Amino acid sequence: MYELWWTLGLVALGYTVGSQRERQHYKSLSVRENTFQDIGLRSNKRLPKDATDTKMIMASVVIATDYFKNVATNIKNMIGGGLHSQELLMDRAKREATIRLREKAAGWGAKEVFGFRIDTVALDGKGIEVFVYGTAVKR
Amino acid sequence: MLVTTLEQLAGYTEVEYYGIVSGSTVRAKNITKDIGAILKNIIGGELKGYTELMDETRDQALARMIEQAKHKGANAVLAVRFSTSDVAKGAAEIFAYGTAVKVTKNV
Repeated sequence: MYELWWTLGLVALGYTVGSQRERQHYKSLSVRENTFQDIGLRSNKRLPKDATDTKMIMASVVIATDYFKNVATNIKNMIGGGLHSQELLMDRAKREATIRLREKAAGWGAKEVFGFRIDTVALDGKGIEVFVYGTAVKR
Repeated sequence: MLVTTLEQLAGYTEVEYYGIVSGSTVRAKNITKDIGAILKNIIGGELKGYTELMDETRDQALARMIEQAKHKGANAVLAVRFSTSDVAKGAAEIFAYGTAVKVTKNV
């Protein structure tokens, strides 16, 4: 019985604090996305003819799932179906890493990133790592 | 060493080809080893320490690739890619690869 309450407590904590932190993160994402929106991203791998200088840049982020998401995932795993809470986690991580990449491009003085790629690693079901890279191009 | 994810380098011409070069590192995937990470696994959020660790592993794979390119006599690596694979339970391999070439500056 004691263990059940303990688990329910962690689920409640994960749900309340976790979703509040998620909302905060989304807020900060949209603010920073606006700041760097003039940095163009392309997945093209060909260098534009008028390019003057290039630099390879990388950025990454590791985000932990909260307790509620973990439990929800385990339950959904038994019954099947879409995992909305994990979709949100992936979305946040990808956007966060992309902002960091754009920040690096801007810091170097470039307005564009070519050959943009995304790579993801699941960290034993308790978190995800998103790694993005590309080549900043000056024209 | 000039490194790019694209097929060409701005202001340089490819003069010699040395083939594929690669570098890899294998690291543990366990992220719940310290108290901070355990807490983060309850309330969610970024694991900054692990983000840094990942960056270091990636840099190391890249450095090993560059080392190999140097050894071959190349001065540039083109079309660099990263790939990740699970080699064993709890272990992931970070793999960087690209095409080693010699380039000369356009005049």
